[in-house]
Amino acid sequence: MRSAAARTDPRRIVEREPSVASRRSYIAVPPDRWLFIAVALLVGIGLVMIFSASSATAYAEHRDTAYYLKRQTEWLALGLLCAYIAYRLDYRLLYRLAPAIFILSLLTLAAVLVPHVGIAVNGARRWLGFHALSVQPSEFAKPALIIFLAALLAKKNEKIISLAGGLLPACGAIVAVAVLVLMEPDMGTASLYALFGAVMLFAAGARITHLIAVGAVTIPPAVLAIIASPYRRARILAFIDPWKDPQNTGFHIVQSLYALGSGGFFGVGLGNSRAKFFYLPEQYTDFIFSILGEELGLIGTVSVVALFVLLAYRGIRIAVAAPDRFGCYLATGCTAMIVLQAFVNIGVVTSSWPVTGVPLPFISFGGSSLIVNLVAVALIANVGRQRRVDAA
Amino acid sequence: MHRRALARVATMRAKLLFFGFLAIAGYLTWRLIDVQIRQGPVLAKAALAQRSDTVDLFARRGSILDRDGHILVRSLPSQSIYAVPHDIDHPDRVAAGLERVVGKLSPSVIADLHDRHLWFVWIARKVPHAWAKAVKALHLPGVQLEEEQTGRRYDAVGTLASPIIGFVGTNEQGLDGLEYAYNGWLRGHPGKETLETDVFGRPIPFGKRTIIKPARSGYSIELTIDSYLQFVAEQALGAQVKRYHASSGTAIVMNPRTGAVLAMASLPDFNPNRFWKYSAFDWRDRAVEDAYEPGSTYKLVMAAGALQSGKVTPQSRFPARNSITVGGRTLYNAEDGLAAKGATETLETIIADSLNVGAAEVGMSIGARTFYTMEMKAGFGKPTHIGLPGENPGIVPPPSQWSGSSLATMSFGQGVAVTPLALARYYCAIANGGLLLRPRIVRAVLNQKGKVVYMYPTEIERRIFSPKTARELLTFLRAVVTRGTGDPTAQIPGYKTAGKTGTAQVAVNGVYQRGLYIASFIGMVPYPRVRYVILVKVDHPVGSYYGTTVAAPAFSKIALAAMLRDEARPRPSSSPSAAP
Repeated sequence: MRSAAARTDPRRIVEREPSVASRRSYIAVPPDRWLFIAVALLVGIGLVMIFSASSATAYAEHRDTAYYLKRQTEWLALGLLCAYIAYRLDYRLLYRLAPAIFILSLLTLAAVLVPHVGIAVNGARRWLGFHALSVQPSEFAKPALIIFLAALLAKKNEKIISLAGGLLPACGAIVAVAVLVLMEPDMGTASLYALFGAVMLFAAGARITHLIAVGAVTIPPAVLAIIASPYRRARILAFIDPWKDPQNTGFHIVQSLYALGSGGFFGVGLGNSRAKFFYLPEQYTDFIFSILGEELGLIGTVSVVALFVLLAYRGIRIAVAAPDRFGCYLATGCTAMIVLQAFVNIGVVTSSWPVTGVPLPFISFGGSSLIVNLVAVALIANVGRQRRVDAA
Repeated sequence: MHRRALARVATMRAKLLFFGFLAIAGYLTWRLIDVQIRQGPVLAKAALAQRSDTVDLFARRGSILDRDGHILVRSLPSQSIYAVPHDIDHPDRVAAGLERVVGKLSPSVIADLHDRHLWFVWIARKVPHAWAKAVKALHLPGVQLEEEQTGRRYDAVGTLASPIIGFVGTNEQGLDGLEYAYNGWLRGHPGKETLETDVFGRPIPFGKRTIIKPARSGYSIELTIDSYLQFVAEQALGAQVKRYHASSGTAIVMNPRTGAVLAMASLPDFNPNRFWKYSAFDWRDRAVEDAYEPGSTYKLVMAAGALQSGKVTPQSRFPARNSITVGGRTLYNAEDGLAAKGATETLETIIADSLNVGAAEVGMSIGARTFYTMEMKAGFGKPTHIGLPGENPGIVPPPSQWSGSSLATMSFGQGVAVTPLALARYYCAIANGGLLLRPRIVRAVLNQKGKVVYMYPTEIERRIFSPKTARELLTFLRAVVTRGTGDPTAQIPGYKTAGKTGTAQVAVNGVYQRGLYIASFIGMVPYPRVRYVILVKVDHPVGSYYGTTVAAPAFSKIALAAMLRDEARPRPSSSPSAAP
């Protein structure tokens, strides 16, 4: 009966243990062309916008307008190498490595918190490594968490509908990572973990009532944490009314809206941004979308949103057609991670979401983020590369 | 739950998830439309206001030219040097480079250069062009030049005519001399421009510039000053001032037919380019600011009154004496005057030999009313309105304030105070047949293209005596040079001169001081058709104090130079209607 179902609908997800899967059961299909186009366009737009948005700062700081473009290009080369490896490997290998990856990730996150090991920038310890070659473990914890959750959920399978047997262990994994990041402190990334963790639980079939219950338990402490911290409270208040204090707490948002509003429908033209002349802070990292909106207008911003929707569509499609549950959850998680980050970032710059330091995937300047997102896309493509043809 | 049921749920959830993403994307799109299209124009306007900066545009101050259009003073756009310490990697190297151009930097500036948090520090304001060029050539990182909104004033001729020209302050506002008096014409009117700037106020490279108000350059003024005669006058005066260790001196050259001042020297002088290094004593234009007791040169006022009233003719004879007692005071012939000869003397002899006793006798014979009327007609005691700042009207007391000896002493120039300019103007009336002219130093106002927009005309104030009287007075002045006190120091080879010596004791608080004199000479050339009236006055000479020895030699030098130059290059200056 199982094989009959598979034959009638090859896309039907057939639950099976990935470790016992026979490779002969699957054929390799060409990589997903639309996924590739979407990501290639986003990366291309990213390079162009990084050059444009950072040129004034790059010249002021390094006497080289292309300084940040060059750095990003180097990261892109490294990212493509990692992505190629992630694409070529059999993703089922990750199923077995998942616990190890997760523990390693927890260890690096913990290491960041140790003084003299973690590098503090603006009062937050988020970095590991040396001056020029530093990485953000919280970025690499994202795919680690996704891999671990995907493996856990695939293993739990239908047990996910039980609270204690399935849902709570998964929640525990999310909380473990989130708490470590929260201690840096980096509430934006922590809430992002919670967000795409919840999305994975939802996709895996957890009961809605359970998810609501978990939310009811975790959200109030989060709100309390926000109220307790003056700068987080200020950010929320600035989100509610950025014009109340446009020179101070509302500064980022007001400058972002100025840039977007200046762009109008067609934009002021590529390279012609005025906000990048030190008016808009983080103009080539977290707020690069505002510069894009100023230079390319609504056409540019909506195009980028559309590219992320295309990415979401292809990602979900691949997840649905995945040959096994691990692949399904892996693709869902990776898709959710990229798309949710993009939406949070765009939400922040359009004053639709409180300010959280989340970069725009593929477009914002930053090596860790670029590598992680490229690897995530490679994993989605990896899953999409294999389709079940025979259940034998 | 059945396995297949879970599969169905998972597929459905995945689809739901996508529609959730789609919904968020839809919401964000709506937000983008709201921000970029609906609120777009308002936000764009606010952003433009935030980065717009209105700056003044450079307006050039008008030039000062001499009568031939040669530049005396001109403004140039100026640049200032500033540094952006934030961009400086090697502050010591940059400081060393700057010091090679602008000289030693102050320790605070050097400290600022080392402070990488600073974005701006002035190195030098309104630097000379050569400095700006040199700094540019050094290509020092973090060192920039900025255009100033007012120019830098350059006096091309240095000290020449400096007391007339005056000087300007740091923002090019006229502070003294013609720079002050004609500031309204000369000053430029800066324009206004709006430009887009970055957060630090620096222009955005491709930003739009909108001129709100165009800059308007100032008008130029063309002077009646003849640079050559000014130079000669300063040299001749300077030689006498130096030779007799005088405290100061004045020389004026005027065209008697137009009232144009061709030269007006005042020593000591100063360099307007570095006016702050001099004292107010050096800034003074003594020809108009200092009134003095003229002494014997004033006898021509008494003589004019005597002849014009008809009470005295050139043939009238007066008893020749060497002393006279008037109002309880005994007066003597002055030391530079020659002793009285014979029993009687004519007015011509009184003038030629500068006899004070004779002058007092003539003065008393014509009466206070006649004398005072001539003083008033000649414009003494009032400013000449030449247009230079700080003009001294002089002191000419009315007869009601006179003492018993006043009429007698005033007849030879004691008890009145006049400026050199007022006296030179009076001698112009003698030279031109009796017309009192308004002295002029500015000939014309020119617009930015050099076209004349206003020409100052020759202004005749009034006739003060008849041509006949003028002719007779001129004869007296000729006699001074041929056989009187001006013989031979006021004579020049090849040309006939005329003039009057003056030696006056200086009174301080009403008491005449022993050893403090003012030596003067007012002469004319060529006689009898006079083209130049030349006044030379030397204050507090040491060694000699006679007008004939201290002042007349300077007159001769100036007169000879003027005549030699005219012979080489004839000027149409013999008729009053012609240019000055």
